[in-house]
Amino acid sequence: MIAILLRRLQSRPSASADDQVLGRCERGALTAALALGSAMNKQTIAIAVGPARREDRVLAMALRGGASRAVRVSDEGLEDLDYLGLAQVLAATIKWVGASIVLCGDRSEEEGTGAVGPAVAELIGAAHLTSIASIKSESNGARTMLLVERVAGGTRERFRIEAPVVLCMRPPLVRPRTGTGDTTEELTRTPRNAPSSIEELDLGRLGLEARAIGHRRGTAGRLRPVRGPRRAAVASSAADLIRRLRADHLVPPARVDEEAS
Amino acid sequence: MHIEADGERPSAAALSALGDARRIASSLGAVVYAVVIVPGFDQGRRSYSRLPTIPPVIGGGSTPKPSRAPSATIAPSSPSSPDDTADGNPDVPDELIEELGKGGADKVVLVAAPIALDEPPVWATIGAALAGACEELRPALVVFAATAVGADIAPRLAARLGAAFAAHCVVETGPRGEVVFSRKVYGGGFRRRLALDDLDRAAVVTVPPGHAPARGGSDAEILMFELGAKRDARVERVGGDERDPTADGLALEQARVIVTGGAGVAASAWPLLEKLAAALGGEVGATRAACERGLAPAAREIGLGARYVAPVLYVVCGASGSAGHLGAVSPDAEIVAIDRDPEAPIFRAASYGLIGSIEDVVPKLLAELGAS
Repeated sequence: MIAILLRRLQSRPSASADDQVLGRCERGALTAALALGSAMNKQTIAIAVGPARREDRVLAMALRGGASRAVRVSDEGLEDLDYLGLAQVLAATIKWVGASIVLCGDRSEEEGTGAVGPAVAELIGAAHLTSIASIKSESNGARTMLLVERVAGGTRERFRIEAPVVLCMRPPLVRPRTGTGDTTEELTRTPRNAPSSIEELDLGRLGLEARAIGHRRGTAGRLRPVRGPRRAAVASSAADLIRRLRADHLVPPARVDEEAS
Repeated sequence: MHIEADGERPSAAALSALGDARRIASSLGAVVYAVVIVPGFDQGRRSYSRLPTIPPVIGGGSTPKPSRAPSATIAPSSPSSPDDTADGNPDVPDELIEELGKGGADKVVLVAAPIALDEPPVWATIGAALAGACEELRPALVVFAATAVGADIAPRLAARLGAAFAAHCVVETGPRGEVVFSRKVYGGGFRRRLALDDLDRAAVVTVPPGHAPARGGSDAEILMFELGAKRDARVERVGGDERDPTADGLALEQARVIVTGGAGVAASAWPLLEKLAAALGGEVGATRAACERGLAPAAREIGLGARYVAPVLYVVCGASGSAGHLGAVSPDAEIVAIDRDPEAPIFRAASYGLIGSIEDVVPKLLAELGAS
């Protein structure tokens, strides 16, 4: 079984378009998971943590795209968890559904931390790789092997990796618009499966106690709004702007011959 | 502090992050250990069998251990030359050790890992060795450069240690003089601030490159760890080393000046941005909308889900300043906005502004910079 970890973009609660409810990395992960599930003839299960009003939209999107099942974990004890608290819940869910291949986005667009995938891998004892661009399956007897391409640090490298594994998908490259939608949108706008119901779990069903993850509250740091909009100091001319930037040592001083002229 | 090497030297990103680690340690009165992973064990390169194993640090806690003289400590002048195998010391150039000492390390920790020279450092190859070193040293804080290596290893190490984690953060001083890791989130509308003093556990952070490395340090003491770390045999590299199609945008991550164009820049005006970037000694970036319009290659995209940058000066031309764009720019950057629309939202995020069309304004800026 292949699991896909999804989380709705929280800063756009009223958004409805597919590309506004999931970040680019997660859309890449969803596309890759659905394609891999199809190629390997394995079930794909979408997993999200959070309340129905927030997460059911992305789970329904996954089901429309072809996911076999969708599971949402919601519980009062889940708010304000850090990356490791969230990973504990996801890891328990992955064990509960029995998935051996887990795909997720490399990092969320909102927090950009990129920690949940590797942390889940640590908790389920799986191998992991980040910044994955593509995945193919490889048959090797009874063992589940994947060939993955990792694009990072200026190079493109290929790895063979054995399940259990967590793969964190990088976003697809932006391409100049040609009038067609991206692959994910095409996948998820074309219903493949009749939308089935979303299974709801709580911590108790996962064998987790709220107090077991409670110590992971408050360790993500405090969230503070950036104070009100400011106004740029608008320069009156190009010369004025360069003078201000030089005064603040942001641009090197003029050469002597420039000043003389 | 994990040190990424670039050939036989510490990478620029590692030295920048080491500078941050030095500043933090100085404010706390703590010790900076620069951890360098060196190929060892069964890679056919060098045997570490004669190196003694460091005994566990006694009385481990949440603060870095003070300098002590473990059995494997050798004098700074002692590392072997690359061709010298007689003393069993690892194959680490003197220059690397020296540079780390000058860059702020109190101690350089050489940790043997089962990694081949041509293998990429990922968790599967060096994670166990790094985790082993942390178990020995019991650091209060582990710092990584915010690079692809740091992104793969740091969060898993944090999970292994049960530590707090913050990515791509800048180091600030709080009102009580405490160390605070701060980063913009939710597209720049919020800041996530993690104060080291508030934690009852260790923290792992990644810091963006681009800051000046610390200078003026002295020779670092050298420690060697042979921890018997195993690689994750489930992960095997089977090919690669091909150039990443986005590699030409990597320079953006190190750039101190970036000139970024948005969809409001006409294609005919794009070369002006390149000239302005060259005149300022910087790089050219692009918003997602500009890339979608074909104005710049995808490798140059700056934005959430694409590339994060941490320049000192960030000049934005013809872009709205969306959350998806500015959220990937370090809060330390001074933003200069250039746009023909005086009501453009970018002027609410910028420190400096100039109103006018790119075609009109940029040539005048080039003239002022003596680059017309």
